[in-house]
Order: sequence, then C-alpha cells, then structure tokens
Amino acid sequence: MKQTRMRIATALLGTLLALPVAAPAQMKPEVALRAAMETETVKGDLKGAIEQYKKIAQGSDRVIAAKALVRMAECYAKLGDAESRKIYERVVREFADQKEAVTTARARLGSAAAKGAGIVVRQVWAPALDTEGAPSPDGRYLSFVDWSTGDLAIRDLTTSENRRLTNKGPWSASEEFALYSSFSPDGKQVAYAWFNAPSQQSWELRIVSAAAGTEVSKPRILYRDGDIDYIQPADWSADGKQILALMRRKDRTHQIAMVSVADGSARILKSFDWRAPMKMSLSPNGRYIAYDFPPKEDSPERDIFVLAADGSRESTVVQHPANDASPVWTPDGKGILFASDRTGAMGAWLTTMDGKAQRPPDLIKADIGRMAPMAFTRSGSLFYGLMIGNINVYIGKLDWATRKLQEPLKSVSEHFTGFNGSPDWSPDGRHLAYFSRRSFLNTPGSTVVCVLTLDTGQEKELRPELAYIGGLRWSPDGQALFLWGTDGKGRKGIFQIDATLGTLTPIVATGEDFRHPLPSPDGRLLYYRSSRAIVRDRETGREEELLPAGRLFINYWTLSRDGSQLALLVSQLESKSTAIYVMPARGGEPRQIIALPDISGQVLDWEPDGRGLVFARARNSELWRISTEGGKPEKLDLTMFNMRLLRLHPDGQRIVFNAGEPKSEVWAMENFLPTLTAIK
Amino acid sequence: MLLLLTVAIPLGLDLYLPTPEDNPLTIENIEQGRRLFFDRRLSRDGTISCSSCHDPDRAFSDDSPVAVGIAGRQGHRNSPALINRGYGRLFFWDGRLTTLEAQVLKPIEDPNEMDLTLPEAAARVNLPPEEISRALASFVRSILSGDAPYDRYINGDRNTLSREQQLGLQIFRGKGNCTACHVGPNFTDEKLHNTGIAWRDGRLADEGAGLGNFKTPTLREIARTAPYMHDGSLATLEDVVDFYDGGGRPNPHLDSEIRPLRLAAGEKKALTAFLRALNGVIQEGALH
Repeated sequence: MKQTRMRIATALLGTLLALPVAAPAQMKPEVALRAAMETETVKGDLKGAIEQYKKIAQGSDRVIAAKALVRMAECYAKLGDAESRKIYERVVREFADQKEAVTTARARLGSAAAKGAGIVVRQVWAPALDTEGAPSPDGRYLSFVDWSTGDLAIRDLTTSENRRLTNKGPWSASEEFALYSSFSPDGKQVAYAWFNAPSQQSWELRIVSAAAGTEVSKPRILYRDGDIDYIQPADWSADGKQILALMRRKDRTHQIAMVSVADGSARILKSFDWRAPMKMSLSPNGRYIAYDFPPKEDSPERDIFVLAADGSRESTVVQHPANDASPVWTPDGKGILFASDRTGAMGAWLTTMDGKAQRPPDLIKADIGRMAPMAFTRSGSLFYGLMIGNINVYIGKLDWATRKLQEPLKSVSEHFTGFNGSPDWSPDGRHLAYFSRRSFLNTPGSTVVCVLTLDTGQEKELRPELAYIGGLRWSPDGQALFLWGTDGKGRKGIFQIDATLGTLTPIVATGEDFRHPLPSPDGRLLYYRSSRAIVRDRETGREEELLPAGRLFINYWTLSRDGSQLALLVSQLESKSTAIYVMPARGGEPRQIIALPDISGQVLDWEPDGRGLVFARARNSELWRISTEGGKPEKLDLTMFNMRLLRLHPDGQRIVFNAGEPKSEVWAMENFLPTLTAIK
Repeated sequence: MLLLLTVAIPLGLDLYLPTPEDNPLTIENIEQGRRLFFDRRLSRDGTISCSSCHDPDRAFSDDSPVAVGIAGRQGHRNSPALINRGYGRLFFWDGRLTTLEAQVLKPIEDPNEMDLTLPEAAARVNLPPEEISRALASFVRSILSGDAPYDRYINGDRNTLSREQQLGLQIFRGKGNCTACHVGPNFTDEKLHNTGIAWRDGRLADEGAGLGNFKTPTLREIARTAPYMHDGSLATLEDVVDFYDGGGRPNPHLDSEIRPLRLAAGEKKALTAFLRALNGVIQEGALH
C-alpha cells in the first residue's frame, strides 16, 4: 500500500512538472502568447520562449501568430542570433494584413538595413560601465566590472539587470578590484583578473561561478605568483580545461601562457619584451592563438600573428603598414576578425583562415570608431566595446573684478576631439601645449603632444617615445615640456621632451608612479609626487622628500607663480571630503584652507596675485575661488561638465582646461558570417 | 620540462622555439649537426672544430679572451656562449646576421678561425653547404639552458634562491637597471648597445655594429662563461658588476641606460650572487 501511494504521488508530480511545457499548445492562443511572454520576460528563458512562440505561430489565429513571430524574432536578436532577420522578413512577407506586426518588423529590418548590406549592428548597452568583459556564449549575459565598487558583475541583456559575482564591499573598505573577464565555454563560470591590493599589490587569475543565487559564490584563485606583476585572462579552451592568459613579469616583460583550470599550473608559450599583445584569442579547436603585436621595434602599428598552442610554429597572418589589432577567432574557426585603420579610419575586417591567411582581408564594417572586439557568441554575434570620448580643451577669459566670463568658451581643436587634454600655457603665454590620444593603444606614438601657437593658430605635433602620457607642464624657459607617464620599457616616471624636436630625456624613471611635475620658476627644482612628495635639484639630481608616503593623499597640486608655495588637493577618506592645503615649497607644515564634500579633483590653480586659489565643485562642473587665508568660497561665472586641469594664462585672465568624459558602449555586430548557419 | 616535438624545453624557456619553415627541427638534422659541430675536418688544418671555441663544458663558450683559430691565429672577439640561440634574433657580437643558418657557416670561412671555403668544407664532409648550415643550425638550436635556481624560484619554489640572491634579484630589476637590456627568459633584449667597453684612449677600439654598439649577451650560465664582454676584457663577474656600477665607460655614444649605479659593496655582492643563480641545466641534442 505504501508503495502504491508513492507511485501515485510520483505520477502526479510528473504530471505537474510536465504541465508548463505541455500547456501552451493546449491553451487558447492569447493565453499561450501571454505564457510565452512570461517565459521570455519574467523567467528570462529566451530559448524556452522561442519554442513556445514557434508553436503559437503555427496556429490559425493570424493576429496572435504575427505577434508571436515578432516576439520570437526579438528573442533571437537578444541572443545575438541572425535568425531574427529572417523572421522579420517572414512577417513582412506573409502577414501583410497584420499592420502592427509588419510595422514593427519593417522598423527592425529598416534599422538593420540602414547599417549596411546584410550586417546587423545593434547597441547592446549604453552607457556601459565597462567594455573589458565578454558576452556569455549564448549572448544573454555580458561580464563587466562594476566600477562603483570594483566588483566583477554580469549583465542580463534580456532584462538589463546587473548582478555582482563578487562582493568586496565599497572602495572605502577595500581597494581590490576586478579587471578583464571571460566566460567559460559552458557559460557557467567567469575567469577574471583580480587586483589583490592588501597582499603585496599583486594580481591574481580567478574563477567564479556565474550561476544565479542569493549570495555570491566564493571565487577560486587559479593563479597567483609573487613573481607576476600582472595577469589577465584572454580566452578559454573549448573544453574548458585551459585559460589563455597574458602575464607581466616583474621585469615588465610579457608572456603568453596557458593556465590549467584543474591545477592552476602555467605553461609559458611565448615571451615578449616590454610590449604586449593587446588582444589574444584561442581558435575554437584550441590549436591556435591569434594575437596582435608590433612587427618592428619602433612601430606603434600592429600586425596579427597566429601561434600554435603547442609551441610548434608561428606565422604572421595579417601584415600591413596600418594598425591591425584585437583579433578574435570566428566561432567556426575559419576566420579572424580584427580592427584595422588601413582605410584611414578604424574598421572591422575579416581574414579567412585555413592554417594561414588565404586572401586579403575583407572589410566588414567601415569607420566603426574606437572599437575593441570582445568575443563572438556561439551564433556568430561579435560583441565589441566602443570608446566615445568628448573630452576636449577649452579656452575662456575671466574678469576677476566681476568674477564673470568675458567671452564664451572656445574649444581649442576641431581635430581629434574627444581625447584631448592636460593643457598648459607656455611661460611667455604665446603657446598652448596639450596631449591628444590618437589611438586606443598604449604604445609609443599613440599619444601626441600638440603645441599651438596662439597668434597664428599653427599647431605642431610632437611624438615622444612614451607608451603613455598622463599630463604635461612647460619648463620655465619654454624650451621643454615635462611629462609624466610610462616609457617604451614600461617604466613609469617623469620625462622631459624638447619643445621643438620632441626628443625624450628621462628625469626619473624608476617605475615609481610619479605624477604632476612642477618646475620652479628658475628651473632649478622639479617637484613631483606619488604617494609621497619629492623635490629634485636638477643640477645635482638630489631628491628631497617634502611629504612622506601616506602623510596626505594628494590628488593634484600646483606651484605658486613665485615658486614659494604649493597648493594641494587632498582626499580625506575618513571625513569623505576633499581639502585644499597650502604649504611652503621648500618643506614645512601643510595648512588646510578648506574642506568640503564636493570639492572635485584636478582643478586647482593660483590666482594671478597669489592671494587666492581657484578650484572646482559639484563633480568638477562649477568653478569657485577662495582666499589663501581661508574664509567663504565664492562661485565664479563658469560652469562646465567635468572640468579638469585648469591653468591660468600668464596674463591672469585667460584660462584653459579640459572638460568632458570618456563614454563606453557595448555593441553587437551580426549577420556577417553566413557560413555559421550550419553550426548553430 | 615540456616536450616540443624533437627537443625538451627546460623550465624557464618559452615552449615556442622559433624555427624556420625551411629547416624544421628534426632528429636527423640535430644529430647531423652534432657530428659536424665536433668535426675537425671543417678547419683547414684539421685541428679545430666548432667545439674548440664553444666548449660544452663551459656552456659552449671559451676561456680565452678572444677566439683562437687554426695555427694559433687570434680573432678579436670573445667566443659567445651558444646557449638558447634558437631564441635569438641577432647573431655575432655586432648582430650582423639575423639567422642561425647564416651564422653557423661564417666561422668555417673566417681565416682567423677555421679558414675553409664552403666548397672545401662541403667536399670534406660530403654535404652541400646548405645542408651543413641547416644541420649545424639545428644542433645549435637544440642547445638549451634552463631549470636554474632562478627558474624554480620564479615558478614558485621560494627556497631555491638564498636571501642574498633574492636581494640580488631585486637589485637586478631595480637599482641596478640590469633589466633595461637583460630581460625575458633569456636575459637579453637581442639589441645593440654601447656600454663603453670598446672605448679606449679616446677612441673606439672596435666599432662593433657601429658607434661601439654590441649585442646584449644572455646571462644564463654566466658564471661558467668567463671572461666577459665582447673582447673578453673583464675576467670576473665582480669586474663586470664594478664596470656597470661605475656607469660603463663614458664616451660620446654611451647608451642612455648606462649610468653610475652607486651600489653598496653588499649590493654588488648580492647582485653577483644572483647572477650565479642563472647557472642551470644545459642540454643539447634531440629527444629519442
């Protein structure tokens, strides 16, 4: 009897479990449609919903069938599947009597057609919090870093909901953060780089489950080594047993490695010098690694190489004077998509592969912008990040008596706008120098220093051999510029370039993260800072520590015109405020002028008479002044979003600064790999 | 240790060992090359072979300041250690050749070394010059040094370097600025630099690749390959460290990376101790 009851209970349970699947076919069409929509939107089960829509579309109710087809097409589109286009076309072709559905279908087709022949380009996420993650193999999720905390997260592209995979707490509690991530082939795990700040400032390669749950899963540290300066995952092998990774050693050289998911052991395949591949991709059969690298020592441009994963051979598959970068294997392993500026603007190109390049690459999408390919989904959608900056340099004129702008702000350059910054007036006031990022590559020559002659409007470009330029300042004699950044051998430091020829001389390149060089008016001294503040005698090379590490968290600083005082912008974490301090330039106790929660970073300069300081508030959008004796700050008549690095002209009236912010978007490009239909 | 078809790659070296498409690394080529490497018939008077100046017991280098060829003829540069040359991009101290296949034939033809024409050499060993080249290059490509205490250290075994050697490693990468040129698994950037070593009495005693530039040698097995520098002018590792500590030898073309280091005596000792940790396991020949 007991056994019988159990059999009945089991049978009932089986019936109940079967109901949700069996039900739609037996329901009324509109009820079935609602059920399918619930599967799609509430449960987020796109594939399940597609199956339900398919059955509904077979019914005789043409109104419901057309609606089901449109919904089904949208599900495919969310999955990055080019099947969506075919379904929209079917709606237009077979359901002319269903005006609403046809209008929707035509709109979708129209927007796709407008983007180019057969290719569908769609915006996946904008503005995106991060573009250095990857889509899940089914295209439903996107991994990214949530920079509000530094945690790794995934975004459900069907619901636009973000979910953290790690939970490190706020920045005030931990300076750790994730970077670069990649989904496992089964979509169940995400590999990522983790900056483990408290323990020796080291990086780790970690894996965490992507499964949904009420709590985040505990990550697994796959690779950690004290001799590794940095490690990031690039791709997974198709069997999920290996992770392709890029390592940087303590000598700042880079290596391609395969890391075993089972035991974390690393196999070094190839070593480079101080330069590194920007993107690496493993072929679907796991046999080849595509990567980009400069073909010559002095070349900022890159070519595409394919290295056998067993180390047996290597070949150049894209060789061209232009910049060819960021290769990604297509899901069928028959091609490599890459970004190239060979037409003069960055475009997406595809080279066909059969062990080696067989014919010249095909242009897939021209003039695509600052594209950074992420990965393909299984169905052939290419996800890529776009950097869309609107940072530019602006000049204005302030009347100090009225505190008002005398004339409208004017942008300095109409060329390469979007990534121009760090302006500074020459000491004689006749020239303006600023940097302009011309490429997303951090390689020598990718950032130029522009020197604008104000009288004539003529502009000269200098290309110092620095991989990264953070900012600049003129020397007092106007013959040179001091830069902070990273040299071609990966060393951070302070450098000097000749203002005419651009020849580079390192001043201090020990690798310490020195920033914001400030020359004294007589040129004898040079101030720079990292977590400590240093003054250097230029003649003897002797350094003196003005402030030890950790004494004050200086964001930015500037020197008074007579060279006697330093003004500092200081983060005060405990009070969650930013303070302005003034201290004697040859050392002494810093004196706080003001501290407010909304003082912004990197806007601080001395007024012409040295009696006051200008600074920014409200997310760098409002300009204010305060006396060096303290007192109540006064708002000036200048508002501009995200002002930074403001500098007053020697005439005391003109000002220059950069404003704007970089923006990121994630896009998907599909329907350009027709041969993939067979492998879906 | 990882296996790459015909040779075993020791710990610390890249699995990818560059090999020209027209000279694949085969057991036959390597073995042929080994025979030729020790074959004295390749010198005019039959007295020397490649191994005479590239002694396997000295990490395939020589203890003479400069190479000594047939009949005691002296060359003017030190015999470099032939280890890990398969990873090389420039060959000879002046970097004048870019392939091992081209390089291996030159000592045979050099009047101060083996002094044979290639047709003569070919006739003696009954192989065409191209085959001599491919075989010798394959053998040299199979000479690998790795698995040194340094390699085990950076792969996680923190006990393989003494505390002094660990300090030396820090100096090597930091204050010593050694990694400005001696980088990567093979401790060379494969580039040309003027350290001032050729600057004597106000002029360049050897132009090298021009303006006194010479190729950065590997530091692997460095303790076994004295004397040092392109001219063998520094007898000991301590001498080399002293030379760089003093900022090389000032001259109009001195590399910008060379400058006085002002290392303390203990730091120099530690640096030398670290360099000795680059002695590892040398292997040559094919897997069988």
